[in-house]
Amino acid sequence: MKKKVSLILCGLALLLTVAASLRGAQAYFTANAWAKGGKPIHLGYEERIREEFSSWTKHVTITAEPDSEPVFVRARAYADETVNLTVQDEAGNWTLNEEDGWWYYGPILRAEEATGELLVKITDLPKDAEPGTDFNVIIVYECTRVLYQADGTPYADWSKAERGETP
Amino acid sequence: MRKTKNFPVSSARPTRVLLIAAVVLLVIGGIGTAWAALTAFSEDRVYEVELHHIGIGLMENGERVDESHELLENMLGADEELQLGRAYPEAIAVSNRGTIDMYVRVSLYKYWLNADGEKDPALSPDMIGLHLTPGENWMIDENASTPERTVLYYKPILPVGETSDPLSDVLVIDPALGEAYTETETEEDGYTVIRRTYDYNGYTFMIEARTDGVQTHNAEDAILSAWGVRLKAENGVLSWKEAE
Repeated sequence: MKKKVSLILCGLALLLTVAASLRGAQAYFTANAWAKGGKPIHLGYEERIREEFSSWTKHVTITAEPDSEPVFVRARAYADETVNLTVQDEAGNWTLNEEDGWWYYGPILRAEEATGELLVKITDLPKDAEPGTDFNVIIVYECTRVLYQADGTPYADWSKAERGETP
Repeated sequence: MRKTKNFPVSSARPTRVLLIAAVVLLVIGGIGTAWAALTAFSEDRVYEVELHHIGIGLMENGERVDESHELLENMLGADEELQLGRAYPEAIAVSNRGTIDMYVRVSLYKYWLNADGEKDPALSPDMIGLHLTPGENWMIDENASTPERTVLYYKPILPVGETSDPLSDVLVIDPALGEAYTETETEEDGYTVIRRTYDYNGYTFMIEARTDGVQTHNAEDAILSAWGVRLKAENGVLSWKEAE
């Protein structure tokens, strides 16, 4: 019986000692604060080329789909040797780069926007050409997502462009 | 002849000694705490009771971050899309909003959520480029840091009402994120259309910041107890403690 009482007292003593230490540990002043936040990334774009043909001229416009991210656009025209092509831009938004032959659309094309018209005129028609005569004139366009430098300046990397073409 | 009295040795004696020791320890502990509290008062009489509290908060680009202002909330305009590669200002700091000075640390977490809102550990947190500016006053705990988490300690005491030096300056999302895609070519209405499906379209980058403050009194023990790290607090400056 005495041994039992001794053991209980020992246990009690140990508990009291531990409790005394815990009080000391909990006495420090501490504080914390926490916050978080995030932003979604939207990648991907889709553009459609639209052309109307009248008076031996292709009227080419490129339209960005509603969910498209901002892109840069460029286009060029190819034809077989039976005809010559003259490309014009009446609104002044397209610029010809004579080194590579591409016409570059200056503004960034955003969702649901359309480029100004690029006019591709078929000239030097064969003398026997009549309405309904087929000519192989292809418009090729490329889009590339707008990239940004650290200071926010936009630029294009055409090596990463997507291509589409008309018949 | 001198007589000596022999007391009987009972088995309860060590127990009593232990019990007395425990009581003494308790009393000492109580006195210590009470003394620490009483030193703040007048020796003669108490005129008023001042309740000290320790308070801490985060700052982002000079603005308070709290319940009404989340991190990155003002990063973009209302209709503005995030631009990969662009450096957005993201200066994170800590402010002392309590009534006692303190030492502080910050744990930063960076990770990605997929389009379903689930965490995707496969996409590297390194693509979330939060540029750290530890300078002279912040020190990075390399041992506690991982690609997802960075732990920084502010070396000086952060006085009441003051804000720390910013630990970061800009945030840049790696433009390489847009180079992971699958390309498909289709014919539509006589047009050849090449489409890309981007692997990480719809992903969300996340930044979390947790800051902890601890009292400057008995700082080394307080830091060990609260943060679990052994730091040296000497002349009001934290530094690494050399291994003992």
